[in-house]
Amino acid sequence: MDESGLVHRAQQGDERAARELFDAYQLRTYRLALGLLGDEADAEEVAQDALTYALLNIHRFKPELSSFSTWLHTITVSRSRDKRRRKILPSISITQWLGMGNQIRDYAPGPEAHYMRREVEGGLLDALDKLSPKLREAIVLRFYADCTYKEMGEIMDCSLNTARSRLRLAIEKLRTHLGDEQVRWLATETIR
Amino acid sequence: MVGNGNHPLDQQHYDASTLEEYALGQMLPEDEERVRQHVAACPLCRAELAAIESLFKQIESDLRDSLDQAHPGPKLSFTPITSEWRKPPRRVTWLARAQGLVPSVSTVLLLALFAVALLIVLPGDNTAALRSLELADDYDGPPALVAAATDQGVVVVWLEADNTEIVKHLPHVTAPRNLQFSADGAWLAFRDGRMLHILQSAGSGAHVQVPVRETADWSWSPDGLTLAYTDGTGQLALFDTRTQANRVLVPPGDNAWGQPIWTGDSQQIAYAVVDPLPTVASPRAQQSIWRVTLATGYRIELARNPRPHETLLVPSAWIQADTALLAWDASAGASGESPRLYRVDVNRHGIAPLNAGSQSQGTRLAWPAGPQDLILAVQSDRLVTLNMSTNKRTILPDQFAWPSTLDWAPSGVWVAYTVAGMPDGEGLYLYAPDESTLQPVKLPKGAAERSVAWMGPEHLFVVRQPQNKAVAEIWLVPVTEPGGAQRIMTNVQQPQTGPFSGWRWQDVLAAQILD
Repeated sequence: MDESGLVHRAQQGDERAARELFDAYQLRTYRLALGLLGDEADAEEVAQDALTYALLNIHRFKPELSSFSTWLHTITVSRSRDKRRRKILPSISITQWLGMGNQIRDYAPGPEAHYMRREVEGGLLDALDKLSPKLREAIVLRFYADCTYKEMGEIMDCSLNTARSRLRLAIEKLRTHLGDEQVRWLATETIR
Repeated sequence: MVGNGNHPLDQQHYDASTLEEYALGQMLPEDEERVRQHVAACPLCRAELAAIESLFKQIESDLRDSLDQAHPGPKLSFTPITSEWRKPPRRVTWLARAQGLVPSVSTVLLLALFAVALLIVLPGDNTAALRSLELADDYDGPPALVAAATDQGVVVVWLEADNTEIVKHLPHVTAPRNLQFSADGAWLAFRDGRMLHILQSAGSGAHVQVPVRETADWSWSPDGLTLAYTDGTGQLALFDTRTQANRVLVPPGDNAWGQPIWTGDSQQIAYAVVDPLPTVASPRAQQSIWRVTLATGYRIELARNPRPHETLLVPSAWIQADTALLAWDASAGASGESPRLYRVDVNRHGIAPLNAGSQSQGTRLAWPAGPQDLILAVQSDRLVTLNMSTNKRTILPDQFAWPSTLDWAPSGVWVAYTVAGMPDGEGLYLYAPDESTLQPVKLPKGAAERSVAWMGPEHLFVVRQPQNKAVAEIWLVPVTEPGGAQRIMTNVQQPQTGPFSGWRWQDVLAAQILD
């Protein structure tokens, strides 16, 4: 696929090129969102939102500043943050609030099962779930999306050094979660 | 023990951080070679590196095993894009379509005739922009100016009862940053690329451009006559709207950084000094907060950050009749933490953390001080009001929904805020801290509430996002009659997100009520 040609054609209004870009990127966008959010329904919604925004605003994309995939990743990360923020914010029911004497009910997370937890029996992905959203972003972008520090900085809207710090901190937390013994056992297994 | 790929010094081993950088392939070639040679000869480092590499491989394979098996459901499709693709504003230019044709002489002639016809028939820029914004023609709020970034560039709209019109159109400005009106609305400032634009809001008046860096920041004096700006090189300067001239207050070598904060009488400015100058908000070697007096140019250090390696303290607002400053830690965004609030005692030259944390909105403090020195803050996941004059802290009702944006009424009695994640039309609230009164303000369905700002004592401007649309709308809500809410503008660009995942609405919108 000639990506730059497709992008250029889409910028000129070619719907077929836009569709080809959608087809080329829908899977990786969905999987990146899934890595960031850990919930299939949320990831699907975020992927749709990110792809829709990117393609309908493709005239704003500047190829001289970044690759299309970096730009799309940036939008996906941003939309995932929005989604996560909406989910963790307490929901408020005024009726209940009044009925309970100004007590607003505790926020309870939705019934969605976390994809990762269902798929993985403890271990690293369990530890990944426990990371803060920004540290999780660093891990997923580096180890799944193969981003460099520079790309991570662009996507996470921070400096290269901040991206590096977040990744280091995330790795440190994963190591702490696993414990040195388990990490060394991993090394032994690899050598075998 | 040792970082950055330098030779091990004391114990002849590299530390985990260096070996992680090596394993990630993120070192300079010469450092990488040095580590490679050492690891080849050192069993301990080799074992540590093997553990790190195994951990990385495991992370990567676990992620791939999980994610590469995942497939989206049928809901993820191109169909919603198809329906929007053909709607205006068109991405297709007539020129682009014509490029697909093999032009014959007659085609060229026809195209030329058609182009002439278009020039005659098509409306002007302002008309097209006006149509795109769908301005309300029955606006009945207070006289106001709104500057908005749209697909047609930046437009400045004059709003008054039964009269809305575009008074300025800058079609070439597609990505403005930090739009700010002066207090009287006569002037507008924003950055576009590496140029600070300072221009008269209406008509073809003065338009001054000042080269700045992307970290530049600015604010208008409360009397509306002067713009203070740091240009990103360490310089703090003033633009005087009466003389239309610039004047340097702090030279570049003195490292002024961030937003200048004016006293209420427009006579003094508080600013941060950071050494070395940051490109992003991050802790530095030295850092302090200063005040400069405009009449004399006299500068004085108000307080020095005791922990410059961990925090970056920037002033946010003058409080307690300009005898103290509210400051906050601007570096907190890098770690995703809520920024801590501080109080700078101007007379005693001291700085102390306040007994409450803060959330933030974009690059601005989300809980700005209200007219009565009240701030809404967070403490141990509970919302509190903190009166900075009396140091009285009041815990709000349990599990109060966290606002996503917030603005104090000019009277200080009410605070208006939006809550993310609410059903459409149900995300706007008014809260009176003194009376513990919470009042939901319902708006018509079809769009979610994103941001709110007071426009005088009785009106709110509410930014809303229609369902499945990547644009914003502005609504006017009379607080005395919420049922009279009206949409006054649409198709405003959505902003980027800033630190702390806040929306940077100041990059796409500015509004100023004209009393």
